[in-house]
Amino acid sequence: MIYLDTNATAPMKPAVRIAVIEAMERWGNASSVHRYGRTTRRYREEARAAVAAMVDVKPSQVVFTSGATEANATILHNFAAMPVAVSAIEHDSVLANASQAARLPVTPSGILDLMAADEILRAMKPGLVSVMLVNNETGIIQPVAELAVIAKKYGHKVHCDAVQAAGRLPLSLRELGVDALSLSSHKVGGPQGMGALVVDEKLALQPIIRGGGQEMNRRAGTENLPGICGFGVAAQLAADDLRDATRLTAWRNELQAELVQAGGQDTVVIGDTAPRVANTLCIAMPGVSSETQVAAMDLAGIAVSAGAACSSGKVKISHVLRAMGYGDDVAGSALRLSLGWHNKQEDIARCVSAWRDVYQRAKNNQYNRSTQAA
Amino acid sequence: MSNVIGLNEFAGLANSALTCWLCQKPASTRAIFCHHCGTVQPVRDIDHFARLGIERRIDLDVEHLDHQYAALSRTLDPQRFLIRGMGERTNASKQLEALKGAYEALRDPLRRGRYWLSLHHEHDAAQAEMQPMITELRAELSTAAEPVACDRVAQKAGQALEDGIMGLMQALRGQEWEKASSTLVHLDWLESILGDVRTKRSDMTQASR
Repeated sequence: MIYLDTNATAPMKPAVRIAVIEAMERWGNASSVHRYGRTTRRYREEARAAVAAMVDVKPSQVVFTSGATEANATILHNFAAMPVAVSAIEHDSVLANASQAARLPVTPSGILDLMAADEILRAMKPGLVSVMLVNNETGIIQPVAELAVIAKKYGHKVHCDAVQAAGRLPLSLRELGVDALSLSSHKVGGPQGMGALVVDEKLALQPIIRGGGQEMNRRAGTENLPGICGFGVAAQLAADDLRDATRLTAWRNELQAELVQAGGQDTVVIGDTAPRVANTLCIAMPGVSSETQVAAMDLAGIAVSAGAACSSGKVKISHVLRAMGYGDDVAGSALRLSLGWHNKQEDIARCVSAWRDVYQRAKNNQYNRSTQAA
Repeated sequence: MSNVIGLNEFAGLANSALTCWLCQKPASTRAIFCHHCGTVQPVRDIDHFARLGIERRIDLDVEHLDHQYAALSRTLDPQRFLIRGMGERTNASKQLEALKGAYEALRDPLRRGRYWLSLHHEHDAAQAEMQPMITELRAELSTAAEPVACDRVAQKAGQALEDGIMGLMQALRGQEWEKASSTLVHLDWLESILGDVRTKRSDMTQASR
């Protein structure tokens, strides 16, 4: 089986697994004063320092959460009483927590429309703007630093969902000019159920989970030590992922060229005119539903996704592609292939071969249906 | 489970003869850390571009280079390895040193040009002829009696250096290795003149005190 769905979750790296297992064998509450507590606290802080180094902040700016969804919810709930604007291509974890928010449009190439954003943010009273750095479906890199300059001009705070950027782009809270940043452990080969909200030192974050003074009163509840330790190791190893980007770019481009050649003029490469992270390819085969493609590829031993992975496992038409102006023919037939640290070059050829078969079968079925109808 | 998604296999590692110094499991030449045990690996012999994880091209994106360097060097911050063993501390410090060396070699266009040429062509400085401009500048410098005259030489040499770097980049992009090679020698001479200007000017200033 070939796994090409790293944007949904990256396979856990072996060193992370070891760190998680070791942490599970330790006990002690990091809030306790005794030796057990102190040891636990030391491991927790070592992991916090690794995550902090990944995003260029002090360790005290990292608040561990149960995942990026909680990180996004925390920051959005902190601004619940204020105006909020989010991009139209945000992940559901942002959109669902900001249903009343103004939507910042994207251009047909999938990049945030900065001129439109300027107009919307100018008209808005000071509040929060939330924009992702890398789109999970298309891999398109958003101009967050430029948006932050605009937002600050009108007195807004800026939050960035950087889940898909970690390990793929060098990250710096300061250079992005944002006030908060969400991270997820399992997108960088860490354990699932672990994430972080990274905040500017001047941002007084209120917890949404209360009942303890953990995380400097910013997130109550005994910390998930195995998750934290695993996340720390994954954050450190993400440096090697950054070094791997050139290799993944070459493979992704090879994959794209081969699929376009196999599908001919019917195929639509989404976001190929925009800057993209190295590992992601979003490609549509109009006429064949995403659901059919995902199922057929799975039977052929290739795990891919139809865009955002939903908790229910069902495939729905992508709001991201709709926001880019694609109709249901393209949006409903898009496939996301995302590479990761675990892939090998031969995976590309096997994926192309499987996709070619799927495409050929779909074409034959279409032909048979049309002749029967005639 | 491991057979399903290849958890125990690393891209490019299966055939690698390299192993982690600590856990002895396969290691990649590119990796800073062992992905099996997480320890910092010794510095391996890879090119500067691979060390910084950037595309191998002469006209690289300097901003991206800066960001990559900043992110990678943060990961190797010695403070973070204080509580680790001696082996790992040494490796981290050497990795950081190698990273810095690679960054400096790529950040400076002239050094990058020299490095790029060394990757593609055997550069023989002895074969390059000295251009008349160098002789003229040397003569002008030797007769310069005032700091202002030295500054004039420096200005001319500086301008020639700037133009020369542009010419070097063009030659490298066009894969005109011989031309690039002779341009590099010319640039070396210009740099040497600039060094001589600085020394002479400093001597003049000290003598006037």
